[in-house]
Amino acid sequence: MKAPAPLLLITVLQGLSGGMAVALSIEVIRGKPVSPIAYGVALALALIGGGASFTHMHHFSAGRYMLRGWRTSWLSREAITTGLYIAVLAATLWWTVRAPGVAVGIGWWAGWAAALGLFAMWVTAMVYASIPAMRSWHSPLTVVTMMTTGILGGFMVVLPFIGESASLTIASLVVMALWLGFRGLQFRFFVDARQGVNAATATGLSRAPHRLQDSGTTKPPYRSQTQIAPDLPALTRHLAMAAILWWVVVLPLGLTLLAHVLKAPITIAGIRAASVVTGSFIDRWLFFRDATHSSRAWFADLGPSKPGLAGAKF
Amino acid sequence: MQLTIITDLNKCVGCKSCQVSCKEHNTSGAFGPLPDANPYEEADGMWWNRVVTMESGEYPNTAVMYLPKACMHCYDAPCVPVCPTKASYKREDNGVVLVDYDSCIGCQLCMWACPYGVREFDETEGVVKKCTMCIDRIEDESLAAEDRQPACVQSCPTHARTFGDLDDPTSEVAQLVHARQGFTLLPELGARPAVHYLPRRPSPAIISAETVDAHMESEGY
Repeated sequence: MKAPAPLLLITVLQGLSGGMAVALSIEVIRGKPVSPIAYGVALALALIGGGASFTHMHHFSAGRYMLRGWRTSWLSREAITTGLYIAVLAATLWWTVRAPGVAVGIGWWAGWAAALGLFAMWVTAMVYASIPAMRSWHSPLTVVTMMTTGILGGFMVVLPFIGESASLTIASLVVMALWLGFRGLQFRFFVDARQGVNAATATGLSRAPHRLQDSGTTKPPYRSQTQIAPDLPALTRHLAMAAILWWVVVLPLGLTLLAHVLKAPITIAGIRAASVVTGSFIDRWLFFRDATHSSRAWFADLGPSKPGLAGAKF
Repeated sequence: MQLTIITDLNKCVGCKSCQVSCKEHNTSGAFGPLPDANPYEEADGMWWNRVVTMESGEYPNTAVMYLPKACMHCYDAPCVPVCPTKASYKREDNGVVLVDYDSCIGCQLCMWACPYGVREFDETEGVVKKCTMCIDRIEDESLAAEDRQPACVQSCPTHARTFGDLDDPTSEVAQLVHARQGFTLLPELGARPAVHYLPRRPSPAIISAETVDAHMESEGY
């Protein structure tokens, strides 16, 4: 499908912000002084993400009905949980500004911000994981991969603000290992979803192979149906995967080792955070762009060597 | 009550009259809900009903089938619960799935939730639109009885499409589905579509003259 920019921003930035809230709450629990700037950055990320999601609405005046469907719609719940998270995060920031360092009450607010950050991340992931027709997303892997991406990114972004923290660095490496495992499984799940487009039950014709004919008015409706998009070339897919591995795993690991050698942890932690954030955006772009929808069975790209015939066989 | 359209795949010849009549009916007049801003520039604009032409099998055992595909008006429509504003809804009195354009925010989540790719995004109005089963026609009591049916059903030259109440066991559609083993598309996704298709009759087996001669000789003729 197409990768809408507002959804890239809301999912990545909300995840980063939630991950930061978790990391900062760990630091508060450990009795470390917390920089209000870190909470300010977390709040800014959440606000930018939340603001970006408004631009995905194409009929703005109907936005006032957004919470009507909260009983069944994960998107409606996402609006509630993200709003609550932003409110609690703002309150936590206010506490840190009011009394910098460890103060009475900050632990309570930091804990709530972390819990709501995780909850908001989970609800956002469920928006995508709960759609059976989106074959690539309909899996618990969507939830755990999105959440570990957010937590990993959040941990990495917090580190430059709090200075060297061995425990948080080790925790982020553990989350990185988990993310790598989940993402590998998810990549395999995407391949299975692509190959599992079922033209037999989509047409009632059991005899394979199935070939779509372009009869003039049944070209893939890429403009008016955003759940499908031209197939991603295999080279692009593999380049994107390589870029994700480089920015999220290889470079951050190398920089972590370098930080011990050069004794300049904050500068390197900043570069490492930028690396993971870049990788997170590429990862989320691939998550949207490479997703396979069940309606793919009826819409195939035209094959350049076979004019008039769809290139795809199922 | 669950209104539905049944298509006999033996009778459909892929003429696209259902596709065109749908577009004509729903774009006619100043307030037609289906936009058709550049009909001569972009043939592949917005269609609520698309006829898919599918070829299957290997030569010589091949088949070509025409499959008119519009909203399936599912019993468990997945597009309805995902809508954050309840703009997508299923009518309790007749089972037709509709969109309230006034409360649709155009988030397109229903398009992703629909397994059938039959919802279309109207870029000009910023809302999602789809087949209404010509609800404006079937509820218009000023029309003659024979006109109170969807445009695609009325225009079909081979009478491949039949309109009626699937929940009424005495209706023509229910009896056709029962007698002809009507099937639904992508049943594995659990949406329980109301729209059914009557299956193609099996192709006759292809037996070469040599096979017949060999069989006759072996039988002593």
